[in-house]
Amino acid sequence: MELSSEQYPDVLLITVQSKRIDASGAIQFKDRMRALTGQTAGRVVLDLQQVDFVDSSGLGAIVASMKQLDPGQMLELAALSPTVEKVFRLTRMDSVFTIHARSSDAIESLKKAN
Amino acid sequence: MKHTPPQQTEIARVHFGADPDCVSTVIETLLGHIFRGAPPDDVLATFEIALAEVINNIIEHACRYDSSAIIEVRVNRCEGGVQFHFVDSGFEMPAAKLPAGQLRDLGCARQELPEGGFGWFLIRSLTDDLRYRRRGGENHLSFRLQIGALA
Repeated sequence: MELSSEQYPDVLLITVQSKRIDASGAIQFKDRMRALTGQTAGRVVLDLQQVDFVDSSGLGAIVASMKQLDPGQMLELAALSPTVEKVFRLTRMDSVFTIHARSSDAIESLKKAN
Repeated sequence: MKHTPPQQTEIARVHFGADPDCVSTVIETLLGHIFRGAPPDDVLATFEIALAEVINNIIEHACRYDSSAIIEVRVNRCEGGVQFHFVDSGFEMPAAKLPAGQLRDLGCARQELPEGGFGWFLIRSLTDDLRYRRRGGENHLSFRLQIGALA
């Protein structure tokens, strides 16, 4: 389970480098997210462009990662593939997260606000 | 009333060990038997999600991660879709029936959001004719996935 991160002025961009967040990698995902987000207080954007598949365990791990943030912190998602989008939509978790088409949408809008 | 099963043609019969690391390969193999070329995104999504959730459940709850346990899946073409029949010799489903898989309300505080319980909801959302039977020390789980006319 590989995650990389880039710190922008107010946004921490985390990119998942693995193709799946599923039962065999969900716990590692949660742990890596905790390590990466523990150091930051601002917005967090999780880029899922490389992820082809998220199962119910992976979905649970993403929810858990959001719960690991400080109360004021947002976890936003970007670049969901069709299968990943379907899992979020069926479970109505697409109403719980802010979802961007691309991570650049999430960061650009922040720059405009400034 | 006599139930006549719909016309079915066996596409494949696959055996695999109850190992979570092999799930994506098993699904790829099954899809390779079913589809010529890549199916439409939404069909692919339905098949990948339903199969992953079912297989994960069998591995975790029936076989309890014993990777030496063998799971069999019979794949049949049926009218408008594909029928799957999973067989394993693991533990029986609790209360001998399928979980209801109801979603919890998501309008709660963040810390109360569910991290689990999605699996059976996804399975029930995506499958038709979902059935479970315990027979001769084996679990039998079958269901259909619709895809309209097959290539």
